[in-house]
Amino acid sequence: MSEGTSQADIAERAADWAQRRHFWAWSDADQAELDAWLAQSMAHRVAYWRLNATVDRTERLTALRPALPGQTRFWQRRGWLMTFRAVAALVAVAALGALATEYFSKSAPQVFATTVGGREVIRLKDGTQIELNTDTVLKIAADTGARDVTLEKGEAYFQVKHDAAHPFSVTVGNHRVVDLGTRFLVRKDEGVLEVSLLEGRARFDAAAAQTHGSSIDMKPGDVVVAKGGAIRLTRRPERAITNQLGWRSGVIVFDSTALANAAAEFNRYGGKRLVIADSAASRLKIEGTFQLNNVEAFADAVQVAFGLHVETRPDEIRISR
Amino acid sequence: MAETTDTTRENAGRGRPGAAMNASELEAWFVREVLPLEAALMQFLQHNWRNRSDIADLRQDVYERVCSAAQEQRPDNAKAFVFRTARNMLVDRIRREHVVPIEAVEDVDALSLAIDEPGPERTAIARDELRRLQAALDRLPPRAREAIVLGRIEGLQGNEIAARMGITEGVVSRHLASGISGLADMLYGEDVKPRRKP
Repeated sequence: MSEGTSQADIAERAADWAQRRHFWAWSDADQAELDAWLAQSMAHRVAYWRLNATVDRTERLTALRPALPGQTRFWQRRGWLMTFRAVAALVAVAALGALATEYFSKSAPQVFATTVGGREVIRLKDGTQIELNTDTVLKIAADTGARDVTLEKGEAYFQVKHDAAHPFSVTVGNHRVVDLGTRFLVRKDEGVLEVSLLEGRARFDAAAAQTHGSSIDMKPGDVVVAKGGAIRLTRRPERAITNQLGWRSGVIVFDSTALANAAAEFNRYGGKRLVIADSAASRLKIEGTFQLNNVEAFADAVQVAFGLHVETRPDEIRISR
Repeated sequence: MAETTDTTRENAGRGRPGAAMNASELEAWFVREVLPLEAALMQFLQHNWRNRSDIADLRQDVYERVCSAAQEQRPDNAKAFVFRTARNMLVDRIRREHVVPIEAVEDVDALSLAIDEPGPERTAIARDELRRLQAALDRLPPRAREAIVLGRIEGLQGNEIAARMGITEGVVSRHLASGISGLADMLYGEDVKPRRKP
C-alpha cells in the first residue's frame, strides 16, 4: 500500500493519464512526465496499466471506423445529439456488421479483427486454434460448423483439428487452402499471398486452377507464394518458417534480412515508424530477435552494429549513414 | 551482433516462472495473467468484505502487492498467487481492524478452489469481445459514452471532441476519464455472460 495517497486518488490520476495519453496530442515531455509519475510507486503503475489495457481493448472499435467523409459532414450540421445517434447507429452497424445480421440469418459469418499491433487467439469448438497477427480481418462462416474461414487481410496461424468428413478451408482472395490435418501460416499483404506449411498436409487451390481441378499438394516446409496471376512453390527450412511465427510470442526474428524489409516488418505493428533514409543502408543485412513493440531497441542495435545514424522524432525513427 | 541477438532473445521471451521481470514484462504479465482474473477477484472480495465502498481500493491493493512480488520473482501460477495474496491481505486487515469476524474468510478456500476450474468463458471472450465492448459502452453515462465513441470510432482528438460536444476541454477530459474507468470496471470486473443464440 502506498503511504499518503489513497487508492481512490491514484485511480483518478491514472484515469486522467490514460485519457491524456490516448485522446490528446502527446509529446515527449508528456511521456517523460507520465514515466516519472509511474516510477513513483507500484500503486501508480498497476492503476495505470489496468486503464491503459482497457483503452487498448477499445482499439478494436477503432478498426470499425467508417470511411465515409461525406456523411461526417452531414452529421456535423445536425449538432451533437444527431451526431451521437448517427455514430451510435454506425457503431451498431459497423461494429456488429455481419454479427448483427446473425439475428436474421444464421449463416452470416462471424468477423474477427485485430488492430495495428493487436493479436488475438480464436479457439473453435472443434479444437482448432487460429491466431491473428497485427491488422488482420478474418471471417468464419457459421453454417459449415466453422470449418470455412476467409482471410480478408493480414496474417493468421492455423492449428487445425483434422476431420476428414469436414475439411477445414481458408479462402484468401480467389485462392483457397484446404487442410488435411495441419499447422500452417497464411499471410496476405498488398497483392501477395503466402502460405507456409509447418506440419501435416494441405492442398492449395489456385484461382485459375480451381476450374481445371488442379492444385498443389503441400508438404511441410513448402511455401506457396501467389503474386498477381503467378503461383510459385518454394521450400524453406523449418527454422525459417518458425522464425516467421515469432509474433506469436511477441518477437520478430530476422535472419539475414535486408534493413528495408526489417523496417517494413516493424512498421506492420504500429509504434514509431521506422524509416531507412538511404538506399545503401536499406540493403544491409541484419539478424537477431527483437521485441516487436520495441522498435527503439532495434534502432539501438542497428546503430551499434553498423555505426548508422539514428534520429528519433516524436512519431518516427530515421536511420541513415 | 551475435551477442546482441542472444541477449535480445533472452529478454524477448515471456519470461520464466521464478525469474525477475522488468517494467514492460511485468505490465505484459499483469495484463495477460492478472487482469483477466478481476471478475473472480471482485467476487471473492465482495464475498469476504462487508464494506462495499472498500472493494475497489482492496482490489488495487491486491494488484499492488501481487506486482511488487512478481517483479522480483514471477509466480508460476498467477491465479493461485493472486488469490493467496488477496486472502492474506484480508486476514491481515481483519486482524488489524477487528471489523469482520474471522470465520468470514473461511469460505476463501472453497471459493478459490472453485475459481481454479477453468471457466468456459475464457474461450468465449475473444468471440464476444465486440459485443462486450458494445454492451459496456451502452452502459456508460451518456456524455462519457459520447466522448469515448467520438474518440475511438470517429478518431477525434480531445479538442475536436470538445468542439463537437460543445463543452470545454476540461470537461471532455473528465468524461473520458470516467468513461475509461467505467469500461475497465465492466470489461475486467464483471463476469462474462456467455451469450446464447436465440
